[in-house]
Amino acid sequence: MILKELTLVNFKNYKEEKFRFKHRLITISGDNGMGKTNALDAIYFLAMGKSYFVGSDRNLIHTDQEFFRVDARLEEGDEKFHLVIKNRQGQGKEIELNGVRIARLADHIGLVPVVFITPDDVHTLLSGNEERRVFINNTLVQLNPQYLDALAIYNRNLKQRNALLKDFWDKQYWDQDLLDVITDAMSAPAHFIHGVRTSLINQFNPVLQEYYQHISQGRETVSLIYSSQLDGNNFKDLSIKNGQKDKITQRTSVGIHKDEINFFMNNRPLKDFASQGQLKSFIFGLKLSQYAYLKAQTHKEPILLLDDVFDKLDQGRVERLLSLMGDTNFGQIFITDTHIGRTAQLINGEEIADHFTIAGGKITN
Amino acid sequence: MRYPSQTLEKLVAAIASLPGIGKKTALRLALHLVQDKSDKAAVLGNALSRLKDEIRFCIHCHALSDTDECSICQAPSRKNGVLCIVENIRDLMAIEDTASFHGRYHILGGLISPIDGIGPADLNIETLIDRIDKEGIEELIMAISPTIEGETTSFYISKKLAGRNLRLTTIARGVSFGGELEYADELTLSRSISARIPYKMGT
Ligand SMILES: [Zn+2]
Repeated sequence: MILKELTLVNFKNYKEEKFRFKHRLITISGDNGMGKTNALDAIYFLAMGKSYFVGSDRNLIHTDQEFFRVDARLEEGDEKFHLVIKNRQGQGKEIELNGVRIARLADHIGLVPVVFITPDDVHTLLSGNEERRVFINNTLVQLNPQYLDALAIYNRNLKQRNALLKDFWDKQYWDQDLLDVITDAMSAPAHFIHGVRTSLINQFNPVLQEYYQHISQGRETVSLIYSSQLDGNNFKDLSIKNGQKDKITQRTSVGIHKDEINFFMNNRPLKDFASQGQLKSFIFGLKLSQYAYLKAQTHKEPILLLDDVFDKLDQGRVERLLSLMGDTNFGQIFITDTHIGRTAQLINGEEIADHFTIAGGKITN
Repeated sequence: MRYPSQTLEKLVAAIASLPGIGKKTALRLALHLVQDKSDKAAVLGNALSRLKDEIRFCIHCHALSDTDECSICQAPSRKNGVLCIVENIRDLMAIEDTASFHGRYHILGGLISPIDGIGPADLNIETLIDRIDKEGIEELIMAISPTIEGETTSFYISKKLAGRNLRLTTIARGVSFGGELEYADELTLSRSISARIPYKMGT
């Protein structure tokens, strides 16, 4: 998918600005806090209906304004798309594709496959299972609309179940029928999510190995290991077995919300044995695998967003990353950099890229 | 805002306490009533003061009614043995508008949602079971919204009715839950970005 035009109105620090893109590579330079990352986040928002950084849409609205609007013209082969997402305070989000309202996020995500790489990813993805599940979720929702539905149903029921367990405890009663109804409602989505996650991770590992080796030039074997309580078990049976535990802890102790995704290098936990350089190669390799996987599954070229990565990588890795990007495996790539002109120089030449300089939410060049 | 009259201020405050009405609209409505030459204010006042005294809930179906039994429960033309279960009076009125249902209703008064502190005991489920046994109900139509809480409520009721010789059906509206626009918390982290420790990337 190729983004041809992007208009931001009241989005974060943008009052009103229009970008026109002609090339496959786009560089956005500017000092920190000027709006480089916000431009990338707007593109991510178009694709996912969610900011990469901010949980609530309300915090995406420009100070003192009541709404924001992200408006894009896109092309995929001969097809042209006009995509608008807006949010007015108190009225919620609206997605419009070619003038037609889309009612559900699950029906929208996947139109514009996207991968976002930020300097924070290394820290985030190494910090916990929740973060790694979000990464897996964000990959799978772009491929399978049922995945978001299953996740939403599962999580809503999980919240209800936990609230019920707490209510049992607080008011000292027990309603097995109601608990069973909610547990049953979680079962099908739990097994569905477990199955999809399992097959994703199996297919992911060879791709990860390839990208890791390319970036790091190392010989280590790297892998993701997925472990779930549901591996070889039935959700309902496990819930019954853990009934007493749930009662006492007032929490649901069994389910895919406990899934673990762990990173390994040479069959040992990555975090404990890898050098800083290896960690970075791993995370970049992981994100590029996400790209390759989305591309293979959707038969579309995802948009790749690279936020400030050159500042944080050593010369060797930057060069290898760029050599990857230069090849035709990638579609449109947006790169931000604080160093005006550096990225432009690195990817040598004005003729193959669009260059923007941003200050205070405005294009200045 | 400063009011020259306390009476006006009280009225504006009362109107503005209604859902969906802001201070500005409330003031406009209040001034309209003050300036109106007809007896609009008196008619409205009368209707409002009678509301709480005279309106009650039907002892059978829990619909709003002027008498102990609502007009639908009283009507001999209504088919016996068939009950349509709805969440609230608005849903009842919507189904009545279609003029395609000829049985009677039972209003639950909400949906089971532990998050909101609503359990089965807060709904009219016990009276439903009583009615089914006493009125010889043969068919139940679940006209409950296809949300997660709606599904929970439907399944819970059907569980409670297990073993009875009943025909249970639902109004097919298509499951529409999951993946709604405002419903994708699972795609962002619960921790906000500002709470994160910046990662220092050395080499
Ligand atoms: Zn009645």
